[in-house]
This record gives sequence, C-alpha cells and structure tokens, in this order.
Amino acid sequence: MKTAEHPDRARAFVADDARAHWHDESLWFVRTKRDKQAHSVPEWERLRELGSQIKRHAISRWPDYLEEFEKNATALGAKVHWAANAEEHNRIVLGILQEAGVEKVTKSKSMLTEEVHLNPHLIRNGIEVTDTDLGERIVQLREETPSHIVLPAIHLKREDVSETFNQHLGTEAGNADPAYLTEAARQHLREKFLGAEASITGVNFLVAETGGFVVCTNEGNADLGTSLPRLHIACTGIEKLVPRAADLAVYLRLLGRSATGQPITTYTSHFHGPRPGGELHIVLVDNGRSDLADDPQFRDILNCIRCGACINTCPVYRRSGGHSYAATVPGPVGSVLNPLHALTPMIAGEDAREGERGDAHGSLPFACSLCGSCTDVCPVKIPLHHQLLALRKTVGDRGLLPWGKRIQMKAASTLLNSPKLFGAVGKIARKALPVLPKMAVYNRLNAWGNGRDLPPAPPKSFKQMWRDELKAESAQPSSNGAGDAPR
Amino acid sequence: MRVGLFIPCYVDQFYPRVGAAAVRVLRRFGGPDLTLEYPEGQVCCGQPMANAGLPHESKPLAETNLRTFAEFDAVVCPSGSCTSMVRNHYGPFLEGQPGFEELKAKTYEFCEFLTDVLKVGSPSGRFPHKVGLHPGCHGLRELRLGSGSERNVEPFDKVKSLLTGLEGLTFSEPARPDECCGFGGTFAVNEEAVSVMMGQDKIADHKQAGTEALVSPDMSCLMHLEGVLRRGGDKQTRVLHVAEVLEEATRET
Amino acid sequence: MNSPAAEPSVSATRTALFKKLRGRLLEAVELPDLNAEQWIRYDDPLAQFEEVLGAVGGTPVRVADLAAANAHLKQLPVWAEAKQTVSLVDGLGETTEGLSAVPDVHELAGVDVAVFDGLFGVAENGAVWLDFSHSDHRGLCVIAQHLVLAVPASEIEHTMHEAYARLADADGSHRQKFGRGGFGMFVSGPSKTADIEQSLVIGAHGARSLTCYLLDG
Repeated sequence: MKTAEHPDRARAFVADDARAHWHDESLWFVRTKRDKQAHSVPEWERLRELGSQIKRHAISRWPDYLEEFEKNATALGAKVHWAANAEEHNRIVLGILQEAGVEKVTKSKSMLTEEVHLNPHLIRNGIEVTDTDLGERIVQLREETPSHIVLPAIHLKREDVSETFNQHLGTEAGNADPAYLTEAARQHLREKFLGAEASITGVNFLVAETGGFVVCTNEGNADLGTSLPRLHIACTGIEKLVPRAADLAVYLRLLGRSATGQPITTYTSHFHGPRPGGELHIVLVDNGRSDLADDPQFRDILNCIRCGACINTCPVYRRSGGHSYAATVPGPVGSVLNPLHALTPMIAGEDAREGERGDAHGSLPFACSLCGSCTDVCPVKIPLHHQLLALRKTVGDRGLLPWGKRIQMKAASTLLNSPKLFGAVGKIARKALPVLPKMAVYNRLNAWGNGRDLPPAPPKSFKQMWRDELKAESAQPSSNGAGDAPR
Repeated sequence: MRVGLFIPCYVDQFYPRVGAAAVRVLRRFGGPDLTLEYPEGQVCCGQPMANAGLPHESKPLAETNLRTFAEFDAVVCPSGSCTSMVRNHYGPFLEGQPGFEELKAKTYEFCEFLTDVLKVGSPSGRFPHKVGLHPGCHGLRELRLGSGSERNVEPFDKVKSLLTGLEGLTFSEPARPDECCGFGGTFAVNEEAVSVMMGQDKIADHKQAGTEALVSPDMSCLMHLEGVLRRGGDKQTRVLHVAEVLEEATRET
Repeated sequence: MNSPAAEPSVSATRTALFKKLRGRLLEAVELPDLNAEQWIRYDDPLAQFEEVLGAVGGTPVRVADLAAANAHLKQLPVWAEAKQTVSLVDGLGETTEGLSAVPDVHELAGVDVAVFDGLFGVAENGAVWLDFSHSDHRGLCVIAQHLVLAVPASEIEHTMHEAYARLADADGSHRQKFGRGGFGMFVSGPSKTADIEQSLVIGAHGARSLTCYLLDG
C-alpha cells in the first residue's frame, strides 16, 4: 500500500509552476463554460434531481432493465455479449474480430476499453487499433494514457502535439497551429477510417425500452467509424442503462452542458440494431460494477454519466494533472471509483480482487480538500465528496493507513478529548513558538511551514480570556467597552 | 435563550480574539434575552481524525460535546467547518443517542445564527475597507450559507448580507470567488504542494481584485491563507473573521 | 480460431450476474413521470434555434421556400467549388451523376456537399433530428466535407423533451416505432474539437460547415 503516491506525483506536477497554472486555467475555462450553460437552463437543478432519480431507479431494478435491453436489442438484430471482467471482455472482442478476419480497427472514445486495457490486448494479437478521437489519437501516438475522460490530451501543450505529429504524421516542424494540426489529423485518420474493417465504440446510454444505444461525440468519429465497415462492436459498462427513450432528454440536456459547456454534443447518434448488411455486437461488461450497488453509501456512483464536470472543477485535479491519479478515471469520480473497485470485495470480507487491480489507490480519497464543488456540479447528484470522506474510513479500516498516522491520530484524539490536557499542551506550545529559533519551526519535517507561516501565538487562550474578562463583560458594551479586542 | 458558545480548538489556541469578537457581537445583537456561556467541558469537533480516515478516534469527542451542550437552547460556533461536522457528520457516532437530533437542530454557524435566529438583517456600522470575502467551503456547500457558483438557484449570501450595511465597506471581486483555498484540514500537510499552490492562487486572485481585508467565516481557511500571505512578505493585508469585522464595525452603535 | 461467443462461458457469466443482481434487494426508487414537469418555453423558439445554432458554429438561413433555399445554396462558395454533391432533398441542390444509388459509404468519400432533410430542430441546443430509417446514407452526413440541412421553420421544438415526445408512439412510449428503422441522430452544428489546448477547431472528422435552411413555406 502506497498512500504517498498521489502527493508525490502531484508535487512533481506543481514543480513546473507555469505549466501547472496553465493546466489549471485551461480546465477552469471549461468550468466557466459549464456554469454559463447550467445557468441558462432555469430547470437545471430539477434536471439534476431527475437525472439522479432515473439512474437510481434503473439500478434498483437493474436485472429487469438489463434483461429488457437484451431482449429488445436482440430482436433488432444485435448480438449481446456478457463479460464478467476485463479478461473476458477482451477475449470476446478479440474473438469477434478474429472470426471476421479483421486486421484493422478504428475505435472512438471509450473509457471502458481504457479501463480493461483493450488496445494492448488487440495489438498483442496482431490487430491494428487506431483511436480516432483527436485527443486519444494524440496520446496513443505518444504512448501515453488519457489524462482526462473527456479531454484526453488536456495535459499537453500545442507544441507537444506539434512535435508528436511532426514525428508520426510528418507535419511541419515547429508548426503548432491547432487548426493546422487538426487538419493533419483529419487527413491521417480519414485514411484509417477508410481502411478499417471494423469499428469499436463506447456507449453513453443504453435504452432498455428500445434495445438501442446512444453515442455522443463532437468530432463525428463514432459515426464515421461505424458507417464505413460492416462490423460494429459497442463496448459498455452495465450501468449505462436508462429505462425509457424519453429519459434521454434529461441526460442529453445535462451531459454536453456539464462536460464542455455545450448545449449538446455535435453528434448524438441513436443506434438500433445493425446497419443493413452489417453486424452489431454489444458487449456488456460488469468488471466490478455489480459490487458497487451493495453499499448505499457508494451506490450513487453508478449514476455517473462520465461528463467530467467534477474533474474540471476539482481544484486538486487542475493543479496536479490527470496522470497524478495513475488510474483510467482521474479526479473526484476516479478517486471514488478506483479505490472502491479495489477495496469493495475486501469490505465484504473476500480476498482482494485479482488481476490488474493490484493497486488499492489508497491515496486518492485523500487527494481532496473536501471542498464539495464536485458534488455541486455533478449533473446526477453523486455526493462525491461525502463518498471520498467515507472511503478514507474504508482505507483506514483496511489497515492501509501508515502506522505513524494512526498513532498520531490516536494521540490527537486523547489530547483533544481532554480539555485540561489540551489547555496545558496548548499553553506550552504558545509560549514556546515565539521564542524558538526559526530553524526549529520551519524545517523539512514541518510540511505546514514549507510554504506558510504559522499564526502568531497569542499570550492567552480563548478559555483563559473567557475566565479573565469575557465572562463578566457587560452585555452591551459602550464605545470603549469592547475597545480592548486584541487586534 | 441560553446559548452555548462552541469555540474551535485552533481558535481557542491561536485566535482567541475571534472568540472574543463573537462573544461581543452575540451579546450586542442578542439583547437581554440571550445568555451566553462558554462551557469549558467542550472539546474539538473531531474533524481531523475523521478526515484522516480514523473516525472511531472522533467518536469520544462527539460524545463529550453531546454531553457538554445538552443543557443549551442553541450552540453557536464561529466556524462553518466545525458546525458542519456536528450537523452533518456526527451521525455514525451519535445516531440514536438521546439529545442528538436536538444537537443537530440547535447547532448554528455564527453567521447563520445572526441571520436566521437573531434576524439581524444588515447591521449598520462603519468599516472603511475593501473586503475580499472567502466563503469557506463547508459553510458554503455543507451548510448552504450562500448559493455558490455551481448551482442554478436564486443567489443569496448570508455572510455577505451581514456586511452590506456597513458604511465605507466595498467588496473586491475575485475571479473565482468560491474556489477552495486549499486548507482542507489534514490535506494541508498530506498534499502540501497542491495545498500551498491553491493558497497562493487564492491570494493572487484577491490581490488582483484589490482586497484590503480578507474576511471569512472560517478561521481555518484564514490560518492557511494568512500563512501564505505573510510568507510572501505581505504584512499589510488584514485577515479577519466575520465576527471581528462586525465587532469592530458596530462597536459604537 | 476461437468462437467469439464461446456460448457456454458467456451464458455462465450472464447467469452468475443475474443471480447476483436478483439476489440483492435494493430499496425501491420511483421512476419519475417526466410529463409532470415544467420545462423552459422560449418566446420565439425559431429565433432561439437560430441563435444557438450560430453559437455552435452552424449557419442558419431563413428562406421563404425551397426554391429560395436552392438559389441561396447555389451561390455558396462551398457549393460552387464542390466537385461531388449528393442531395436527398428534391429541389435543393443536385446529386452528382452516378452517386445516388451508391450503397457503400467508402465510395462517397469524395463528396464535398451533402444535402439532407431534417425532420425538426430543437431550440435549446440548435440540434436537428436526422432520420436514416429508410436509407443507409448515415455515413454521408459525416464523410461529406460540408453539410446542408433543410428544416421547416414551423418545426422547431423548445427542448429535448418535446423532441423525444414527437418521436414517440401514440401512448407516449418509444416501444413501437422509435429506432425500428435503425439509425437517427441529432446534429448540432459542424464537426468540432478542442482537443489541442482547448482551442476550438471546426472540422474535426465530420462536416467542416453546416448550413441549415429554415423554410417558411
């Protein structure tokens, strides 16, 4: 267990002050666009409530809606697959591609396929996978992972992209004009689209009532991808369900506005069954999701529509960068999901989840000042900061906190629960602080003092002031009655 | 009304002047019906341990405070964060214990006690400074002392409303008025690098907005922000709890 | 080669999952009745649609009738410079010889301008509903360099709620006709990305421009 991980990676990111501030500003800009849109819809708060309620309803009748979706999707001619975990998902997708003799595939943005590490699996098996979302293609060419679920390359500057494209796509060295670079990617990816034999997409919403699903993009890559080859594989978590098509209205009104401050994404595509002459596979993946409904404290995380608003507003994410989370989903939602996935079976008294979830991500719930902004921007009202607080307890309960911290907090509890002891220790500290040499107060052992002064130590505690003067003070002081306030 | 004053542990030790200001303001606006007491049996709200992932270490403190404040009609605390701890986070420790529901209902943050219980409106007085308000996240988002920038609700701000009647007072307008300052309790040392950067950014925002007096209903945020301010060499900017502003501004009325 | 859907194992997963989900009793949460809600109504939904479409990079053009739209289209530089065009709207633009019946979108890769009928628009977000139920031209709207839409000016819904309501069956559900033809999409403005430094670039993979004729007649 490595609880020091996020702070260390965050410190490295913060060390490049100019870049950290640039990153912060870029994301704050998205947050302000989101605010503008949220404030343009008078029923915004009601929509959030409905967004939460519909999802909670769907989870409360999860197996019914999954069955309904499967039945309707199958009737439309889609083939529905069930995967318990990453390994099974990847095996199913590879199997479909191999069966069809596919060697080249394009993929639009899907955090699920990032979560299950589909790309490396396909590549290992000789299949060329091209991510077609511009941001994802950039990080793919750089052999990095996305640093954000909606803005995968938000950690990169235009100069970084220019260099990458110069190296891989042969663009002019030094030309960092985003329009030029985007045009180059357009030409490059058109070739990939035209040459692909299958396309993989994620899913934003599965509609139980119709057996269809919705995919939202701004670039049009999911549509271009799926309309060229005859084979389409849609990979999705089992929590993406909505009961009715009419519910889509609620979520589509919330999603684009929350994600990027757009009134709706450019393309909102409704897929119902395969194209004429085509083949459609829908792979429904559990991979730990079904465990998340067990604990009512954490159940609402299943509401998540992956808009990224909590990430954009998070003051820690903006200043520590997505890669500091070392997980597919960063920011507040990731700081809930990753440790929860890793720790939930342990709560239930089972063994740790096997396989790729070796890391408990125990430092993530602490990468948070508990400011609560994430909870208030969340379009489906996930109480994110309360869940992060609750997860700290889970980390503590699993004995994953450093020994020093546990001893320190035990001592603090004893000290703080005794007014006498607390008063005595406080008195000593207040007397000592002003006379201690600066070196003794501000040194490497004092994380407070690296960037901040300590408050000046007053001669008396409040309790002493109360006894000495305040208790007997008149209720309505005259002009000089309160003149001795220690200012 | 018998009011028990709940003074946060760090205010007791480092900012007794804030407690004193709260006492004077409450007496000034409470009138003869308000009896103010400071029960000495009170202890820290327990937040440091709970936020560190060890809430069982907070339980004894919650129990002590439940007993200590049992006899009062209201509990007033000059901190949004400690108030929220009692109101929103004592459940796991005290659920079902006699007096717990009452404790939650009768515990008020200082500003909301003035606005909602004493109904002081916007008191008149004088405070000739450009004030930069820092709302404090727990007061803002857990106690709803204000509407906040995230939500699309009718705008309100209980803290600000207490200051708008003061002569000579103007408000600075930071670009991100309710972004977290980066204190966050144990976060301030756990994630020291990010915490300090957040504090520096908050100070820079107030500087560009022309803040002369940095004012908050939460001294914990201010301890962090004052630390950053003074470390940066600024000895000018005043750093004050809302209670201090009200005390100073309404002293002669 | 492995069978993709190695049936026994797939159904084992399904069985186990449903056993787990059905074995757990969660407290009931009511499904809200969306018809009971009050949504925003714009004073002038058409004006709102035009404003939002403009804001998302599209070009709304209000015209008296199809003939006027056609005259306007012919003067657009993108039309004048186009080498290949496809129109699915009689009387608005034309289809380049030999392209109309092409079923494979690969062969439409060179299309410069594509013209579609939009069933209706949505005032709150500038989106137009395109229904591809009876054609497989869905790829055309993203592969074409420029997109031209024709929407009756009278067919602007206030919000997405009204939009889905008009796609519903008589009973208000979407069980019968919605999606039965295969594919439909809301399109709001031209293709765009801001993936490089949050710098907005129009024309990512799909259309580089979107012109929407709003027909009075």
